[in-house]
Amino acid sequence: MRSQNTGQMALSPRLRTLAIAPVIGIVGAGGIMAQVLLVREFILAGGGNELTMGVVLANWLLLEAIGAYLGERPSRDTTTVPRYVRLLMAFSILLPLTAILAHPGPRLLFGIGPGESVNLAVLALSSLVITAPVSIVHGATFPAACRVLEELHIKRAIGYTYLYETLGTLLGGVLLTLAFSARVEKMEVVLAIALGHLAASLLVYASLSPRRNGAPRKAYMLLVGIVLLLLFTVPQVATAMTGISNQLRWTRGTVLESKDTPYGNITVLQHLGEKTVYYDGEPTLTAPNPDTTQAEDFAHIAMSAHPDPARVLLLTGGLGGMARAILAHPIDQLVYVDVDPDLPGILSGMECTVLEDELSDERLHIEHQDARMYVSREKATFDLIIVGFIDPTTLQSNRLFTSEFFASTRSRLQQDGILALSIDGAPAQMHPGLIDLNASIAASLQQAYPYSTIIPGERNILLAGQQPLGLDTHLLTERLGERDADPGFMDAAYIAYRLDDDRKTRLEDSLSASTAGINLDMHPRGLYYALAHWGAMFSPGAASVLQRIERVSLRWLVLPLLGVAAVLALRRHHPRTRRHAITYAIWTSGVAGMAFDLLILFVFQVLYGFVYSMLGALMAGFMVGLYFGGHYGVGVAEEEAARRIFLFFEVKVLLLLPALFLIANALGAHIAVIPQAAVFGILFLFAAISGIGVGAQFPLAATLVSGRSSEGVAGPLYAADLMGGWLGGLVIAILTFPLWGLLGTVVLLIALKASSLFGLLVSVGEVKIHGSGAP
Amino acid sequence: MDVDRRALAIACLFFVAAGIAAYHAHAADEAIIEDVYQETMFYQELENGAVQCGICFRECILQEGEVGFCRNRKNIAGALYNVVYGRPSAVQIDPVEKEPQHHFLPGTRILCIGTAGCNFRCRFCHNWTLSQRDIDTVGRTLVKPPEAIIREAQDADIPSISFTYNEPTAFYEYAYDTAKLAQDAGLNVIFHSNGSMNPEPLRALLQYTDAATIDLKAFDDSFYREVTEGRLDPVLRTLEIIYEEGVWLEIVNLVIPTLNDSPEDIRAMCRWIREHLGPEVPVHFNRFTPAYRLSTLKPTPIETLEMAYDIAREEGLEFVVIGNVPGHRKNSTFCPECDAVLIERHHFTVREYRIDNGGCPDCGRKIPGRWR
Repeated sequence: MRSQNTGQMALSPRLRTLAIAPVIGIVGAGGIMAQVLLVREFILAGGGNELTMGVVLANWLLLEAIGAYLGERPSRDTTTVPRYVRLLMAFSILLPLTAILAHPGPRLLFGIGPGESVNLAVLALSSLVITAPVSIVHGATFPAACRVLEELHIKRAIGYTYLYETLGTLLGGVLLTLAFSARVEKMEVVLAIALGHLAASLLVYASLSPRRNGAPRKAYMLLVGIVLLLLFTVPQVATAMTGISNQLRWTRGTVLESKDTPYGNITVLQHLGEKTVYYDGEPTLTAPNPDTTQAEDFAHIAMSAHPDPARVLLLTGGLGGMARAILAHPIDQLVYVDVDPDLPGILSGMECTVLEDELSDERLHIEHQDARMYVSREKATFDLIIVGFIDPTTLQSNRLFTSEFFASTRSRLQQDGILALSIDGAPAQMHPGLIDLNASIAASLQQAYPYSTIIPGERNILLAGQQPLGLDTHLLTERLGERDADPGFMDAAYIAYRLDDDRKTRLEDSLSASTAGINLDMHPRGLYYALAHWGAMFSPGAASVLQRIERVSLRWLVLPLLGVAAVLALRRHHPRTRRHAITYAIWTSGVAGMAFDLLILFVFQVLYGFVYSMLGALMAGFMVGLYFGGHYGVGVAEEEAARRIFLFFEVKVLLLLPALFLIANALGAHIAVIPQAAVFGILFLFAAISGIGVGAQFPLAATLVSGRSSEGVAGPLYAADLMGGWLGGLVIAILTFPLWGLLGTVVLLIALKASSLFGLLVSVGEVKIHGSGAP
Repeated sequence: MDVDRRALAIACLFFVAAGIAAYHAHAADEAIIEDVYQETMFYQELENGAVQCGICFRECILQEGEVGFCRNRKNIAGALYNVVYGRPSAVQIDPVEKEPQHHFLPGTRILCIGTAGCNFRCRFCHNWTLSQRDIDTVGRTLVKPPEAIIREAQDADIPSISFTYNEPTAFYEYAYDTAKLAQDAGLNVIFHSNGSMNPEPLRALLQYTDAATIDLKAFDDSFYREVTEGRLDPVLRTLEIIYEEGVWLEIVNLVIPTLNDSPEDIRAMCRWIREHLGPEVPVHFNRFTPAYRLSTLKPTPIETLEMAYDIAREEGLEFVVIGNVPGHRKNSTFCPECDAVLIERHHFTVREYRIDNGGCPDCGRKIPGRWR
């Protein structure tokens, strides 16, 4: 075929379509991989809190929506191809820069000094600013790709673009999970994504641009040259990128080692003569002189509370002082459980006497497992179970402070066994948020054990057992003396000070006045109170807002949703109402889609505690559903069929919400016996099924609203979808899941989808819909 | 009703409601004034109902209804009131070594009192739940007038009262009245301060004070401004006044890695102490541990603390201690003459007390302090 304008050969439409489809797929893959990688970096900046996931993902969606909206503007070029090429190239340049800045970015942007914590508001704002360029560009590629397909005379361009991008997203999620499993460096993955987009941009340019003076041949040669050059230098460039990112983050000291494991990030920083190990950004140990005061205080009190401990189980956060204090007692065995197998190896190279004493003791046995899984599945029993120094500041750690976990420890303890844990306290007085946190954990403990006590301090110590505990100064001092445990500063006067009745009574009075609820796996109130406590450090106002929100009943949030449905019903004869109802339905499906995504991730984290390595795969499961749903939706050309099927999927999404709750609880109840692969499979399958409904609705809505052209339609619909996802991500991550738990979140979402279903039923009805909404 | 009139009606309703709320708030303030608030001792009335506080270097100028930087002083009807008088948030018994006071009745207990608020914003404050809150958001508060504090100390057979946890400057009037009563009752009075009090109120309080622990957080004003929102000069002035008044003084320097641990600054600080106060003033170099907003900063290297110790001794300071490192030898007190152990300490516990008649049992050197 000859072009009339240039007289030069042009690719056939079929070949051009074949070229563009994988490019759109690459964009989809790049999007999800970039999101997951950047989420991990921001989680690191925020100290490992998984709720950051929702904030960052939500911000990404918001920015993509902005990009999609901006991308709708008409191009000055005769075709959209040059714009599309520029967007792909821009993404390939911006992504590596964003990846370097993500971890140190919050500190740089807000002038946060070394050693200062980063609060959620700063994380939210900084992720918005830092990811803005790359995510806006990514969002703008969608309407650009739609236009390109239309220019290639492909019918239902919006639907097909959505389809190809979703397919790419699915593949990207799987590839990323494989990359994590193979321990590929994250910056190498970033560079691979950037290279892919660069190659894609050149492919589009070479395949679809009008030809002049042999340009395509030169473009292809340039493509091959660049790709080959960069491929050979990826490891070196990745190392340099990691070095720059670390230098920006760790401004005082030298980074000796920084490693991403499937469970978190381990960084070793040297300053003067000391090395500090950071786990997910939090200082864990300083060598050669770790601060062991609190660890010894806790360990000796817990150990001396038991008359004759022989076998002790220590769960996570216990190396570097606590284990040594426990081993100072004449026990037979100390089993230490920590999920990350890389950590003891790094710690053993720290030249620290305390660690050497611990790791060389024959009585110490280390298990590399999730602590919660170990307690559920192991049959051995112990005299003492001690939870190391962690706080319920993440979903992962909160699992060791729930009523279900405490109940599961009973079967691992001897009849006179004791469970010991500690939680943040205060030297003088705890503020209300901290009181609620302690009260919640104490109440959860009391649900599982008939006898419990709390010892106030900078860290409050909680002890529980099936028999009366009977602690007093004389008894503890005597036991420490008899065991020759060398407790250092813990003489009789110190123990009397620690067990002071007045302090204990004051603390118990504070806790009993609190209305804090029980901390449960699927209702992580402990996490909510920990967030409020964390927030209180930066903004007393924010903390008190969170406390007031806790008292808000869910029904007050449901009422406005009914109001929306009522408005749509009242205005059902207005020409624009039908489009608004469909757009609202897409928006609520965006919320629901993000909800399914996040809730499945949260459920997995609650069950297993290591969601990071499975993040890509679980998100890909949802994408599988999106793909098949989208594929099905694109194939429905007739408007009446589109309307009926749209309503069908609306109902389906609604029904899947309570199903999620039931499945999550069933899995939680039987987690000890269900293999991990089966749990993953169930969640993956559920994610896919939920994705089908959400995925099908978008092309169906496009069919219902757009008529012949995507102009003025693709952007707003896509934006509605993404805005729904944004709001869902923020609200579910920060608020509804920690505050109202899985059940409350599901109820709220049911009300949301019900309002959109009602709006559709009364407004869409039997009437066909075209572009401007004329009846 | 058209839009304009509807809007006007709504606006009128709003202003009426706001006025009613303001009236009740004012009435509530007046009711509280009668029961709890205490008019402050050092302030000036200005024009138009404004006041200027004179307690600390900030000298806040407050309009009607405004609260000072410390969160505890409020202008009500043109007079300045302390809103935390008689309302402690923490009343606890601690060992005197925790203050820290190593030369004042070692091994005894103190009744510690704290309220809410502070005129600094230290990012590493261990008592932030009190100091960085106002009385309404701090949580539980007690009602304990000064007489009740005295009775509590006497009932528990505690020889000393300490104003600590949060900055005593922020609850000055409460501390002052309690200190006065304590002295009449034969009790000792200690306070732990950031050193920012103005000279006049400081001298007034010192009349009833037996010992003071002052935080000299750094010898660099930029640290004070950036990390604590305070100032260095008022602290140095406070130290000189306390020393001049003859009240027993001990100084604490919390060594924070990378922020205030420069050897040059530490040397300059020690030199200043020796030249402007005296070599016998005990100096505590305490180890920082992650707290409050500095939760991801590592603890102070022991090497840094020992460097600070060595510098202080080189500059001629006689009583230097390394704190917050239980088990460290330098947590104990040694004779500056013969290096004998005078008080062996492990964390807050006195293991051995060897002071004999106020001096070293080995060489007889007089050791300054208040001994049991």
